Amino acid sequence: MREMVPSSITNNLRITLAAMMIMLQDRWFIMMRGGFIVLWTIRPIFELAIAALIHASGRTELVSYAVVGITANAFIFSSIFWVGELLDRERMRGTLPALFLSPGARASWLGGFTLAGAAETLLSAAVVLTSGILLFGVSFNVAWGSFLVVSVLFLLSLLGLGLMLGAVGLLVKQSNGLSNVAAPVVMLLGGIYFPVSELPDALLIIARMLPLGYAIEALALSTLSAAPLSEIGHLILPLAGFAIGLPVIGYLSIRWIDHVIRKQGTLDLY
Amino acid sequence: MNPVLLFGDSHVRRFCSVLSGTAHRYIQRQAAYAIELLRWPLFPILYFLALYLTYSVSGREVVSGYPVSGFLLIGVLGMVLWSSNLWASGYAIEFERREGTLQTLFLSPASRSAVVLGYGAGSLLIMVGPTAVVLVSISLLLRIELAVASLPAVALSIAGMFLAAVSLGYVLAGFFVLTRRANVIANFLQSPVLLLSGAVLPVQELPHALQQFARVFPLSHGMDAVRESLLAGATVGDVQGHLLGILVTSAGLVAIGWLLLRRVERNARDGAELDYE
Repeated sequence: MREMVPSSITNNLRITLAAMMIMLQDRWFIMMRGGFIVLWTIRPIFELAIAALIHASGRTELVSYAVVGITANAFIFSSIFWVGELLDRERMRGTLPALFLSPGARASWLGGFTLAGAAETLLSAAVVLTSGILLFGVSFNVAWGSFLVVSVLFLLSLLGLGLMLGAVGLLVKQSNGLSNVAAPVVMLLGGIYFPVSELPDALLIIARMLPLGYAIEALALSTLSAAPLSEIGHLILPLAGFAIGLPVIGYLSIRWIDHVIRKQGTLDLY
Repeated sequence: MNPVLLFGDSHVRRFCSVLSGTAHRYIQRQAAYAIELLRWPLFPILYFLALYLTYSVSGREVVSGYPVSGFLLIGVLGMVLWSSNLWASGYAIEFERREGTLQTLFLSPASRSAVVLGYGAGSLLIMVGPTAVVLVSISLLLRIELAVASLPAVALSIAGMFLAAVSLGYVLAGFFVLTRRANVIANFLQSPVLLLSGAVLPVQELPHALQQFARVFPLSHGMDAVRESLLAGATVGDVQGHLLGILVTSAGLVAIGWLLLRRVERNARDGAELDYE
């Protein structure tokens, strides 16, 4: 039987902040002492270089698109490998039952952990953007209003996707394996290297069932050719649907999985 | 076949027993999680498709003189071999350390090299094998045109590519555990090697300074040899330079790898706490 101790908004915000700070300290240790800072800063440059060099000898205008796509991919990557693995990671550490039993709302500590991951994501995204400008001479012409709207919708969609993956990962108890299955699917269908509209018809149908293609195309248009909202409305509308629907589905998935594992008593099974 | 029947009760037999036992354990462990069996073939296949479409969208049908599909097929196969050896044989000793079984391994009479190669062999059977089958099926669907003039050249080139990958995994086994940063280094190595080795992008399209890596990286020679013999009708004579390069670099890597493994063992015996993070 699930019992939630009522918490005030202030208390939950405090939990969010505390969860974020503790996770930031944890990540700081891993990034600096573990050397992951090198991985997060240099690896995206090579990923960008592969896509950009393919386009550099073909359709050069797609180099700029790839820079935006791979920058956006930093956030997608975070959604899959960070948010999607949060719950299972805590389970492996043995701290998930305690978190579930804590009086705060699930969203409070989950939100704090998610925000901590955003720091690394922003670093990775900044490296890709800087590399795009310095190595491939990409220039930006940003419509800030469109960019902000698309970014918010994109991040909400990713949060929903991450929560859904997190729930399934906890169920199968192999969230990293699941992330490694999801990541290449996104790479193919997410419109990271080129717009999804260029995909063959059969793949395009599947790609249109994901928010990523809409989001990255809209981000590219709003940051490279300063497209106003009216010009990208056909992309914003479906993206807004995902931004509303996916977090709700993600939240319900987490609640459902919470119920299932409590009923089965399998939370601590490996 | 039972190694006893092949080699009698000798060092070779014991080496083979440890190798096959380790490979068997590796396979059992991987097969315990269905998702692991799915993820390994899925990534290279979808990566191949993503890059194939990227080249197509960019209007490029020929890369480095080969059709894009053929060029990528061999490059992705090379990438799979590299990943497999990186994360299996390369990670073998580190894996034992993380599991807390490294000291036990060093106290046992088992050949350390056989354990490392056993991880690689297990990965080859359960990961690379199915992936290669699916990739070849894709090549049939895409109707990749082969131009084979010499079957021995193809066979030697493929064997060379395998040898290059195995020797790379072997040298990393000791190196990883000595650095105590195996996970970050293994993760880091993937993308640069993918770009610099010529697996998915012709080396000639890289800036001149970056082209030098492929000259000394044995897997690059392996992929070049397979591409030339399978897609451009090269004979043994045509690819002998690549094969020689693989032999020389692989021999060097194996020698270094052996020394590194001895160093790991010496550290463990001298009380250097390899179990520390």
